[in-house]
Amino acid sequence: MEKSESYIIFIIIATVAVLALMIIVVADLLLIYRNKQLKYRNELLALNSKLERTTLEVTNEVTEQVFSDIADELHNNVCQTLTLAVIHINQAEVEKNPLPNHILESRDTIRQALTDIRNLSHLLSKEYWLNFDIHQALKALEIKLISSGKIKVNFDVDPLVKFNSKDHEIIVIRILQEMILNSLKHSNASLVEIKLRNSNNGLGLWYSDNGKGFLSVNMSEGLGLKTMKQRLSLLKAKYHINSENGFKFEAEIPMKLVSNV
Amino acid sequence: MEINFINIPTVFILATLVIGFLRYKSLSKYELLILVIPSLNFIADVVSSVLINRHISTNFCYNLLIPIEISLTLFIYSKHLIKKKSRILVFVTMLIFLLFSIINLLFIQEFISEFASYNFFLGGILVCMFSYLVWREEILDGLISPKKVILWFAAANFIYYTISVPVMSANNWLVLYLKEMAIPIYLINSINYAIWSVFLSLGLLWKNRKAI
Repeated sequence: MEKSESYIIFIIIATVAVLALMIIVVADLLLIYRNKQLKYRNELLALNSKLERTTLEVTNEVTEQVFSDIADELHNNVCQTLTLAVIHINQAEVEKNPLPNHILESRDTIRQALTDIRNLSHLLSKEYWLNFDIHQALKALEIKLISSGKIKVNFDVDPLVKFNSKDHEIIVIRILQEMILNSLKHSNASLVEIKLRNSNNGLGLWYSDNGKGFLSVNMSEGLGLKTMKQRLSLLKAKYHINSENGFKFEAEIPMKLVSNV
Repeated sequence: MEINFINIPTVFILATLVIGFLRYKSLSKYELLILVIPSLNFIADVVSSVLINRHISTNFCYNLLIPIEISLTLFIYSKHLIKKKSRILVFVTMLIFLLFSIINLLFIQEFISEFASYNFFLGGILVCMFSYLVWREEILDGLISPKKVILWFAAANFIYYTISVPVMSANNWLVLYLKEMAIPIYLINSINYAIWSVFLSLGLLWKNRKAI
């Protein structure tokens, strides 16, 4: 090979090598840029999700606090006023016996209101939620629903299910209350089935009724369903809603469960 | 008086050295080592100017300078890189390059009559690669700052060698077969050389700036 040719080959090799290096550098920079963009996007999503969760948690806390304040107000103020009214009627009865029937009936109504308000106050109070037990609450709910006679309820709750967080327990009962309320109010259901079981990844919750379903009664964007979804997101639950033949709901709540076994 | 455009970059190099001298207190040990490179360049340029005036070939001057300059550049990189693996890789590459340069100068290309283009080609490609590696590590770690002289130095090297490797690879061929084209090619290299010193000067000037 002539010297000139070898020089030209060398020039070509050098130029190609530099060009190849430039291409590699540009490609690598583009990859780095893309990866950084993806990383920032994921970080942003994680931050948004965290913000959403914090907002929901705060909302939940505020709601519980408001409930507790209302309970205190009902117990300390309204009940006192009503008790005073009953005392006045009793006093009047002593002084001017017998009292007209409608006043005596009013006293009974006030007493009934007092009992209802005390029960409500008890349900809303912080102490109630501090000592809250989902099994007892579900039992009470079952009795209440059966005694109402409006709806037949099948409860299938594993007695071994135990939560390690009171907050999660409260959230689950609130979700169930929401669904029962919807079954009663909007779906015209006559049968409700609730199942609560330990699952592989935490807790399995099933709910179904034979009513019209959520979506058919324009509840898809309703406040009830929205609140329920917010609560489920607080639990980081995976859930599925089917509303074609009645309302069917199933959720898997990833939580550390404490078993009694 | 005729202006020698080829020698204008020497003035830029001198300016870089003056800036470096004025800023030497703010520079670290390895940043000061960077200044050895323009110093060597300046000496080589002055010596080659004298030799040109006496019609003596300047090839040996640059044949000596290139392995020293490139090895020193790689050594500085090996001290600045963040990852230990990268530091070892650059250091080992530097030793291999040095060995290749000596073999090339002794047995392959002529030391006196020929420009050691193989050394320049291999060294240039290596400097380009590792200049990018320096930048890459800083980009990935989010540590890029104009106050880092090493980044200016790496950028200057990357630009200089990506342009000069193809240009200087043609040097021997042009000298032998197309002498009239050699001057424009040298001019390209001279402009490139001036850009290199401007980048380094900017790095040295920025180093002393107070944080905004």
